[in-house]
Amino acid sequence: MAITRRTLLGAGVSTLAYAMNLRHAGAAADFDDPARAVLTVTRNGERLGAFSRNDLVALPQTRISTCTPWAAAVMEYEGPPVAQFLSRFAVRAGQLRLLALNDYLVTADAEMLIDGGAILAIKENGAFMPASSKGPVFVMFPFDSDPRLQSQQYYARAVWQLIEIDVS
Amino acid sequence: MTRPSLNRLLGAPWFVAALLLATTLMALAAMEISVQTENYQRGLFEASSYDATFDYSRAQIEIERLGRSIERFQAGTIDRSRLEAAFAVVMTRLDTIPAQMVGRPFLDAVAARDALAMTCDELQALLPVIAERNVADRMVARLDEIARTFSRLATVANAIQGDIVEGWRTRLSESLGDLGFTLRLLFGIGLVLVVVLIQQKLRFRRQALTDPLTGLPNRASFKKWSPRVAGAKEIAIAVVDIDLFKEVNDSCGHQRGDQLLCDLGAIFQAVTARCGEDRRRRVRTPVRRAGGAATGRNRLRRGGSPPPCASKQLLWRSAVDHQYRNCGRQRG
Repeated sequence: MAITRRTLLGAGVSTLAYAMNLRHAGAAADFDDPARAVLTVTRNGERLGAFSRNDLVALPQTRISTCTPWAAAVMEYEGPPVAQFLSRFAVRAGQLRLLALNDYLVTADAEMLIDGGAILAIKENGAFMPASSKGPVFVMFPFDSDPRLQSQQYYARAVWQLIEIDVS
Repeated sequence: MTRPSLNRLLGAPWFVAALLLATTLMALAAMEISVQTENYQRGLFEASSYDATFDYSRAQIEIERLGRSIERFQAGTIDRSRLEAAFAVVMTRLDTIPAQMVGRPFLDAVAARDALAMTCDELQALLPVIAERNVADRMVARLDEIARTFSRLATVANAIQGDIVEGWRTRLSESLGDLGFTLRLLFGIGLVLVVVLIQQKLRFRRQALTDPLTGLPNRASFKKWSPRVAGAKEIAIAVVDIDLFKEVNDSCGHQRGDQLLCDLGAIFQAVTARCGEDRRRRVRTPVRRAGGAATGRNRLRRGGSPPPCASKQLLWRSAVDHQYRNCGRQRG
């Protein structure tokens, strides 16, 4: 096949496009970077802080081993308790708005999460959860240890890919 | 049913035994129904505790949004990070799709999940070149097809879950109805048993305080009598010695003597009842059987002092004469 100017131009464009894609692929890797701020906390829309998974893992951790409707086996989740996390913002009651990467938005009473023993899980079976598998943050309840939690009321508040908490 | 026959029914041993048997059977039935009710309640709780239909609907939306993200990325209106975020959302959905419905494998969901998994694997491999038009178009078409699959899956799951929940709800409702009926029946039997117990207690009490032959209050009744009249301004005591009773016994036989005592009992009951009506005062008359020593202020004898009630002596004579006459007829 003869190499024409058009072929060369096309090959050049394709190579450039592939290189750009690789660069963006690097950006995808940043998305799962533990040092990147992934969880934003706001109060009535005003930003109070942003946390990376390194920040979250530095807080006191709680482990929960439980079945969920979304996994076939018992999984171990690890992360800071919601009570511990919210205490940094002097929040013990009031309504929270939990927003996920997939635009899943749900409101929840802070007391409900605290009393239910919820944690901001960042690890599943000992490894950070990537965004492609429920990460960066998964609100998890100890479903197995308290049958009261096994209801739609609590399942709806077990938000995966959590990226923002708004307190009011 | 008349009152005496109802009383006889309530006092019949077979009736009480039937009530106790029915109570036992009803209690066993109630226990079994309550266990069933708990099982149905648990089934309904499990069937309605999680709404898988919502997951399938969300999957449809997220897959369609990934397709639109590919189109926009290919058109250059969004950057790669937003495309990858949309892909990460679908990958997480793939990781969390419920493949069971109320504890049972849901084959339609398994098939849809496998199809999505294959498409995601292909997309993952093609992500570096997804900006190429033919690649993007092919993946968008695949994703749209998978989105339609999840749309259908959501409607199928909705109907199935609805059927399961309705089944548990119906069973629970029927079981609660049975339980309520059984408990009401037990309550009714319990009430009848209480009435029977009260009636038996009264009957036993009456038997304990009544002379079985004459039907008159006995010595035990007399002992309970004094506290009852404490504080009364007037009381009357009749100590009765029956003259000629031994002759009746000897000449006519003890059976006739017993009959005489019965007749006397009836007389005393009639007299005391009338005195009670006249004077609004209860009079108790303990009876001493034949041959007993009579000590008291008033004696009822032929030709003796007149009795408190004018007709008593006439009644006594009548009773003795009646027994003699019968005795004479039998002998004659």
